[in-house]
Amino acid sequence: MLLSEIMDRPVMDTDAAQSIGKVEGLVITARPPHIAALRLKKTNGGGTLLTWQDVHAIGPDAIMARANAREGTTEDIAERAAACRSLPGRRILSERGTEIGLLQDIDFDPESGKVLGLLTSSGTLPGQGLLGIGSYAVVVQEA
Amino acid sequence: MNALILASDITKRPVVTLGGEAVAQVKDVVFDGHAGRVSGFTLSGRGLFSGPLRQALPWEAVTGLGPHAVMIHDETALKSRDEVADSAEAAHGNVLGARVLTDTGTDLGHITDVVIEVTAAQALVAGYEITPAKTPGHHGRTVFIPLARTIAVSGEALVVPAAAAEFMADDLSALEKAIPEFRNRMSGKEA
Repeated sequence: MLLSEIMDRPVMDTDAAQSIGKVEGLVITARPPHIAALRLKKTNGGGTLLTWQDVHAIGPDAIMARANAREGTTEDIAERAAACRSLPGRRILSERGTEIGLLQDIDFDPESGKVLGLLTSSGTLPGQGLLGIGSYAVVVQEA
Repeated sequence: MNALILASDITKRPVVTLGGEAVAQVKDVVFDGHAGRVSGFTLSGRGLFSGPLRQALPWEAVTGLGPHAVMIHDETALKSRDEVADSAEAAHGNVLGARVLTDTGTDLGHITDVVIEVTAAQALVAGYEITPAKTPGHHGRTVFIPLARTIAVSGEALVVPAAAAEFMADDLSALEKAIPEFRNRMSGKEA
């Protein structure tokens, strides 16, 4: 599943049957390449991050989140989230310092949250080659 | 083939961690004059108004020197500026602007840039870009000469074997071809 497919998809609290917000982006960790959280917009107070453990299901019409999903996020994720703000369009550098292209989309497994691939302006890179995601660049292993 | 790059092309390049954060940009390349290699980089901040940093980057900590960035593992790679720059700069400071003379007394011009050969393990000085003094046919266009192992260098002048003039190249790819031939010739002479 692609990040672009779930953009703006509504997020519902399964217990309260209330809308929490809409998907605005992903927060990813590099090692292992995995989704750490969903970034939400238009939340009615509370954090704008929904940690992956709190995601119950990614459905075709809505993302269902477990109860108490909006309890405070850990500092570690907040730091990751800052680096992952508006990921599409970020430059991709190889570990040798060569610019490979720009990040266009992220392919992930909606069941496990694993990052499967990085879609770039010059082809798709495997998710397991991801080394780091920073505010300046996404760093990947040299092909 | 190992790539040849100009020292001036490395300056202003961002220094990026494998975590994807740009922590500085290259201010100057620091050469170890005795060994003819790059010993590290001095740094400046990345903001518009940020000046030189107290910290510098030793070559050993560079994990990749690419055309778009200098890669390091993380911020612990940065060391005190004195550790990287002080001794090397004092030994053989800036060669830019120095005259290049052959050992037979011909003035080839002055150095305008340093050509670096990057291998997996180190970055060596492979040659110099020089602006010719008054060579007819060149008309101020820069040329490249391969570095001889047996040269005398000071801030004022660089003495190269007369043979270096025969291996002058118009661009970096031509220099890349000339270097092995030049080294063969020089090692033949010394033997």
